[in-house]
Amino acid sequence: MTTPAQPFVILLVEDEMADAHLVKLALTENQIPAVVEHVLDGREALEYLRRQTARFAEAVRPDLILLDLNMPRLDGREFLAAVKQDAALQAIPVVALSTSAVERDIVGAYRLGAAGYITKPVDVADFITEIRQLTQYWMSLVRLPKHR
Amino acid sequence: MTQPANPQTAHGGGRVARASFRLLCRPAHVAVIVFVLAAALAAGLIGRQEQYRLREERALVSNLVAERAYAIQTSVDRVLSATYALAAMVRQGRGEIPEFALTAGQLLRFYPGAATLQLAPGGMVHQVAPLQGNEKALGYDLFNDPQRRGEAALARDTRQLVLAGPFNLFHGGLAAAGYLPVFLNDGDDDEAFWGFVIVGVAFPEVLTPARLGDLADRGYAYELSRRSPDVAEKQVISASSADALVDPVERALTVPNAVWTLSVAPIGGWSDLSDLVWKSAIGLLFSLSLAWQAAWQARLIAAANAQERKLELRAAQRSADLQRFAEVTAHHLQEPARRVASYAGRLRALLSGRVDDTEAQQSLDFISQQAARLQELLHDVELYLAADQPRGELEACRVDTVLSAVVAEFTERVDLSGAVLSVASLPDALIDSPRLGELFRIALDNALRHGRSERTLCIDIDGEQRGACVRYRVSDNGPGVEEQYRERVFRVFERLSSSSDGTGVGLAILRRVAESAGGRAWLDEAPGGGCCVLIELPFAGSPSSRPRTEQPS
Amino acid sequence: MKPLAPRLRLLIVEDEPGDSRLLQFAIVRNGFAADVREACDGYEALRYLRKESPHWAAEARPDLILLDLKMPGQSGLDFLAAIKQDESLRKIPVVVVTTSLLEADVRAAYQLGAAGYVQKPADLREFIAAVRILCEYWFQLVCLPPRSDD
Repeated sequence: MTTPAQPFVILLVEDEMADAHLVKLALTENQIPAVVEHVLDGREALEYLRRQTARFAEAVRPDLILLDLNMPRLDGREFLAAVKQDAALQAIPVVALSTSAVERDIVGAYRLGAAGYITKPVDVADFITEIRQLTQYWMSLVRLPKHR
Repeated sequence: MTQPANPQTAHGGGRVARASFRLLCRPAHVAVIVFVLAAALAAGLIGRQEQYRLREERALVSNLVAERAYAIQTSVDRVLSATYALAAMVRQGRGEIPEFALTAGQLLRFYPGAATLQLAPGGMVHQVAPLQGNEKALGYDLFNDPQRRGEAALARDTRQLVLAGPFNLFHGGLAAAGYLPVFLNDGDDDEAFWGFVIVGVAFPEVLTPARLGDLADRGYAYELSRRSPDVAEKQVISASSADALVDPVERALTVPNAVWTLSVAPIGGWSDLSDLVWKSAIGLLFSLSLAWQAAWQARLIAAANAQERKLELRAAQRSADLQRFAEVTAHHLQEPARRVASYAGRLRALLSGRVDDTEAQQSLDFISQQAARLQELLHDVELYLAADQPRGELEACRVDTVLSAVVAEFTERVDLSGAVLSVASLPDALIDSPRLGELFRIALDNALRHGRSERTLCIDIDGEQRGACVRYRVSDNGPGVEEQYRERVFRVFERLSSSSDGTGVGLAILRRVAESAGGRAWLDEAPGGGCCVLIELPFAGSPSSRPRTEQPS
Repeated sequence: MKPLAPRLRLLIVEDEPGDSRLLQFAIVRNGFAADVREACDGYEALRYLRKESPHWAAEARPDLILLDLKMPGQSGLDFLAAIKQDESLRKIPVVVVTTSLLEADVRAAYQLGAAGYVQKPADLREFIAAVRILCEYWFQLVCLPPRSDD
């Protein structure tokens, strides 16, 4: 349950601007009042979460992480493993976003602690539906740990 | 290879096995082993040949000795036979031979080996011919000579011719004599001992017919010796040298009252040392050259093995790299393809109702279609690449269970196309069940897609066990595939008609699955003229067909 | 997105049979189909997942586990910890569905690897609506680890 004072924050870890744009578009289309913090790869995401660089000094701890699995530098899987091994971060749910529907990728993500694995559909309308279902689950249905 | 070996290859897996293999193939070891074998062989051959040569040589010498011994015996007998003529004369002359000197002189001419002829009535030499040079013999009493007394008595008592000697003379040379006792009868039956007729044997003339000197010329040492009853030790009558003979060939020859022995051996022994040295040298050279060649070959083989290992490793690495590259490429190309399709769709949604331009709509449609097609192709590439990996545990698949599940999936399509599907009971194959299902899925899809004709489509699935394999057939009664295209359809993205939908990767995946499971797949003409997909897989029932991959315990 | 929601295998770990029935009813009511197995506590659930009885040997593993935290015997959190430490089971998502709402439980559940923490609304209509969102997420939206690799 979010209050206007505490907006729902999604950390979007996505190297592709086109896809990040689709996520933001889908949130807008669904009129979802979530704040999207977009970082371009896993390393930047960890810097964000740990407020390691001046740029992220004021970073807000996200309620949910949407993670693209294929990224340069720190790969999505490595990032996921790092988050789930960090006691301060492991309570944040991470949902994997991927084009791949390969079994190995799906199983790997769940084993690393992903709280969902979503494939990016071709049709934007489908994607909008997906984001709606996703945010309904994480924003309306489930309880998330309070941290602020 | 001039550059040092890649440490990764040198320290890779199977190091122990490879090391022991290398030890076995080390050229030095091979060389030593081959040398020892070759040397042993050469030694054996040389030894046998030497033995054979020795036997031949001894046989030759034996013949020679026999011939010469016979010559000696004949010569001695001949000399001694002079006494018989003389004895006859004595008996005729009743103890007297008139003109003995003349008669004996004539007789001696016939007996070249005889030196003297003597008459010794009562054992005392009374007459000797030729007298000249032998005057000392006159008056010599045989029975009084301790050296000759025994033989004289023997001759008298046995009434036999006795050969006395040869003796070594004080002034050198040899002397021997044949004593023939003569008995005269004086009218009554009793014969009274008269005395001896003696023939002095001339040495070495008596041996001349044996041509012993010729033996020495031919490279043989000889020795003629005798053992007589009253002389214990061996007495050498004639010899080529004073040295003892080495393992001689001996031949006994019998003379009156004695056995003489002619012994012959090659000068310097039987073994031909220089010949042996030559042969050994050749044998050694032969062994060495073989060893060298073996070492060379071993080195070549080792080098070839190393090269082969290197190539295998490189090929495996390259194949893995290629597979990884293809996977990554397919995956990375998926993303932009999807984005193109997404944004084309988005654009269409945005433009709809606002822009009434059919060409713009059409262009967007083409973009969407092509992006979708690209995605489909990439997806199929991914499927193709993944087709050689088992998707579950290797097991003896209950093929009937898997097949009925696949058939159930196709029920709707089969009904829609009005086809008749008949499935026989099949023998089980050794493969993971997801991929076995995939095989039938592709074959069925292929039949439904391409088997259509004006007739009712009939699809038959049957198969049988063939030794260590099972063979499944999925045949239809459609138009079939011309023979020249039956291989081509197994290539990735190969389609025989542009009108049919699908990317044309199905049969390529089918073959990849079958081959990676240790089997094969191909097309044939169905009995009714249609197309028949044949799939061969290892049979689940025979243990020998189990691949060497890890088995769940 | 999947056009037709697949039939999932659910394991409901819940000590109160009535609550479990209600959950199943809500699933069906929302138009989803599931094969449901029930376990009355974490201990039994773990035995079931590890196929410790020959009776369960042929059972396919569940796609999703719905876990009530308040149970007698082994607590829900212990069960969650046990699953997430088991190499072969940790890929199965576990969603906590519970009545109580303790901030400490919420944090602990996520730290142990829960894929959601749902508070059961008391009102039936609200409950059915909540289950719809739950089902849309797990039945329709996400890809779950396929069972074929077991």
